[in-house]
Amino acid sequence: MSNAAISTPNKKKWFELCFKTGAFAVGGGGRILIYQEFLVDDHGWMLLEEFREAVTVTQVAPGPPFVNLATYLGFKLTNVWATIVGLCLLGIPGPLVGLFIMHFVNLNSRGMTWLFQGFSLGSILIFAIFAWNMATGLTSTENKKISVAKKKLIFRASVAALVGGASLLGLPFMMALIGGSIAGLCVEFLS
Amino acid sequence: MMLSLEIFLFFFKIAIISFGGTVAILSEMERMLVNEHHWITHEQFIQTFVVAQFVPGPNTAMSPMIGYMVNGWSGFFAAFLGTFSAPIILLGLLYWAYKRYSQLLWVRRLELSLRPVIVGLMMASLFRLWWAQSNPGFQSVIFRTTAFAIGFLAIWLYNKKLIKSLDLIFFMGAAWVYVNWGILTVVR
Repeated sequence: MSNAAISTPNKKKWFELCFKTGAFAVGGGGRILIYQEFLVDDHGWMLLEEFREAVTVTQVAPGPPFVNLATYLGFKLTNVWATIVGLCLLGIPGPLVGLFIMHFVNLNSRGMTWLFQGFSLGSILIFAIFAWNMATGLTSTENKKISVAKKKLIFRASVAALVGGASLLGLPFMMALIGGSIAGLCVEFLS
Repeated sequence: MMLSLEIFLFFFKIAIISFGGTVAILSEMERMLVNEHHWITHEQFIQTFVVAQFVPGPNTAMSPMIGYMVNGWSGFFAAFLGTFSAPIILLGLLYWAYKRYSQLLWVRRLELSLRPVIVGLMMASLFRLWWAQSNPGFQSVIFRTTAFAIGFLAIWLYNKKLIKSLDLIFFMGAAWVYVNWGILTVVR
């Protein structure tokens, strides 16, 4: 993971990333890693820590999480118009492909079922890689005034485990978000 | 024109009230589309949802597809604008506020306090996605073992930087078709 130099973002490349993700990233779940790879590792437009920060901030905002992230990054790296064009390139190809599939493709054929199962598996794998990257981000603060004592790390990991477990047991998203946030605030401000 | 405006407002509202993605408010969305507005049938809703799982891009593909069913291309773009304009406004404000105050120590702590929550929710989603793959064709030991083997190979190729994340998805698609076809040929 190269966190070295920050280079100047380029609008054409930004559009390329949005279109590539909008038109080819099938399977759901793993698109965030495509963005991280492009922005942090390949082009060095931002640091990994900044990317993690953007993910955290946008996932708690209302609206589709990935669209939120793409919008936030668009504002951060380009300008309002490039953000809007990027979102069009990201959001329009998918439904067009969907309408094409609805009219012309037999999704019940064995070959198609296998192909989409494979895409889903691939997508789960890259989502898992990104989730691991986020989990390792629990150990960082990028600020010397905030301690990362072992006790605090254990508390952070416990909050993550509790929220994940509660969500799997059927606790609604909002409840998990609010409850987890209160616990997280206690860990950061009181421990 | 009026109908397209209604579609725009409907999806704008849906985008604002959906926390954690459209899946969280799917039942409410269906109730409003099918029972309240009578724009589409239950079967059309299910069909659109299923197809939307197979398409590239963000999980919002369903909205323009429904817009198209209700009012053609005008409905398609109205639904697209409705879904995407809410994040542009909200995230624009959020970005401005965060950029302005992110250097403050307590704001940084606030962001750090949310991280474990996001990690927990991601891990739960990951587990759910994996579990959702457990359909009947997938349950046999041989298929599951094969999936793990191909998965490890893909991760190895990724870690060695021989493939990128997007290539990994297509690699898994192609490998899964090849392996399934191979297994069936051997079984026969």
